[in-house]
Amino acid sequence: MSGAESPLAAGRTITVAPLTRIEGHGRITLQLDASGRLAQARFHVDEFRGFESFCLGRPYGEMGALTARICGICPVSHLLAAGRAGDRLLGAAPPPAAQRLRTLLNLAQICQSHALSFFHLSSPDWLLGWESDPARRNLFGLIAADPELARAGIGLRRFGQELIERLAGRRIHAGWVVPGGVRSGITATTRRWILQQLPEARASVQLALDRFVPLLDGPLQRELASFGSFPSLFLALVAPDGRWCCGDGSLRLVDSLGRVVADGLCEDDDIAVLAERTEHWSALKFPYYRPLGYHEGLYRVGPLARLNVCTAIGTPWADCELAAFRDRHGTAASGGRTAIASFAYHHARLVEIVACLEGMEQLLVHPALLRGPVRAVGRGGSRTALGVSEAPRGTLFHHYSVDVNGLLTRVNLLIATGQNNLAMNRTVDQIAREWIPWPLPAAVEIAEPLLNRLEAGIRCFDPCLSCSTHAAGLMPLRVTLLDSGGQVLAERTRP
Amino acid sequence: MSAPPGLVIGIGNSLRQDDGLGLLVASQASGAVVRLVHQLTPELAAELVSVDRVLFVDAWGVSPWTTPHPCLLPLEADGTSAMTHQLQPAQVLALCAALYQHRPRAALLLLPAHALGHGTGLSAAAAAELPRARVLLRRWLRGDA
Repeated sequence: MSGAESPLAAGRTITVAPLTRIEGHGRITLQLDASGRLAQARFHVDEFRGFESFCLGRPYGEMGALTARICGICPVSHLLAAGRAGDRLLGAAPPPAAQRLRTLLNLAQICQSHALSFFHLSSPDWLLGWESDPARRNLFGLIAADPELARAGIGLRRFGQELIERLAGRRIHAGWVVPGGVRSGITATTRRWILQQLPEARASVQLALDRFVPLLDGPLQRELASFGSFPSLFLALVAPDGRWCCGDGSLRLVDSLGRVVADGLCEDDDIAVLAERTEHWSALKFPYYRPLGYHEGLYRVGPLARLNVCTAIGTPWADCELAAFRDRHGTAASGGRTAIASFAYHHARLVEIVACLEGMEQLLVHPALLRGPVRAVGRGGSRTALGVSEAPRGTLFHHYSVDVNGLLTRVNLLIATGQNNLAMNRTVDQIAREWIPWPLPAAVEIAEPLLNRLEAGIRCFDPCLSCSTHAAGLMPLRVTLLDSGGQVLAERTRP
Repeated sequence: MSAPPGLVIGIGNSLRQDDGLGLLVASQASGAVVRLVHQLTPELAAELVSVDRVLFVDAWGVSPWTTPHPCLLPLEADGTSAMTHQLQPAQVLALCAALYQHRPRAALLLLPAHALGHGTGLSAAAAAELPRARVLLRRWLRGDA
């Protein structure tokens, strides 16, 4: 907008919209005060779908198929959470083989989803440069700059997708996980195929680590320090011995010093320690840890949280990468134990892909995977149940109540992206304060590299807005600059 | 002499009426490798490496400017997209060419869609065009197109 006509001396708001290279549709606004300095930055999500309402009255056994439709990227997570809630409502603990098969499915999904986030959505920023032509800052630009890395990303994603299809019958929206287990076992052919693919997948993630980690010491140092680097709580599932867990586990909450704040949460089929607040300016809810209140109770979920919460991963290469991750990102205050920089989510994704590949191998060589039943008989369960799964983006909760006929009377979905909502807002605020020269000059212009950094702050969390609002729609984001009276002074939208 | 077996990719959503046309018609491509997808994603480029011919089958909203009948069109690679998890057929071809230096012969079978609401049934107008769509599909499978 023209600087001459801008009421720049007064407060105003910058909007970044639509946000690109994320799953869903959002925008960022930067609200200025009367002196032209940043008053607050907000990340808005404007869509709404209402799965929690229209699922009411349906049989709980349908929830896997219904809620998987929330998202085409992480339907497996909803399938697993719905299946686990269904286990409890049915009173049918899945047999050991079914538990392992569910975990295998989840590892495949995390692998392919992290590959999409790291290689396709985020790596163009640092490989091509924040200031590079936005028309080239995409997968085709990545191919031109580093075809080997692009091929590796596509190969990893294809591997995860094909594994899901071979195991569950479809790449997306498979109805394979059911209350009490899974619909079918794994064939020897599929088991052999997965084992044959693992060496190439390992080489792909090694290549990504080799390309990415050195950048953290050089061109990405400032981003690492300013993209959402702040103390918070971290929430994730852990195995009974405290190790990294993407199967059945219990919830643990730690603080930024690495201290366990709460452990064994949700064992009573309730998530009372987590509260949600709504804000009039976003369709995405704001969960927080209730005992500490709305703002102090800010917590993060997802790859960064899982690495901060676990004591170890439990496989050799992944534990080496975890140690290197903590050496690099762990704060001095935590004794090198806890990473607080949201930019480290990208590095954490690579460590988790390593963990997934090694975890698959462990599961596949276990003799119990091919033996025994894969579904349990229901023995009568409860009328209320909580299903938890670790989705690629973080912990996912499905909380159901049913009537005597098994029809749903209450559905509450607490989505990973929503749980990072407070953190994403704080990240946008931190980036705006670090990267915009305040007070703004008279001729305000939202420069593209700034727009991209604001977006990239959100991309650290790899949000899935379709999931988190249970919302349908296009993806993109918008940035708006507003004065203190709410008048739009400048706006930038990408097509 | 029969044409070499190719890959047929059906695109669409079977829960949105005529948007499921691509899936329905592609699933009838006997003799070919068939992939049914909701949308085109980058990893499909890797699947084109092993084929010499590929046919994309997709529904297309009827408008005053488009033909109301199915049509079979040759397709060229076009790598100008900024999207990374929702691609057009020409962009999948471009990815395949850029990443794997492979350029399969490609065609696009467009099927007119008249109703895209919630539901699994086809509109009467779309169903009426199915025989013509099958003729075009068989023509491609024989290698005549």
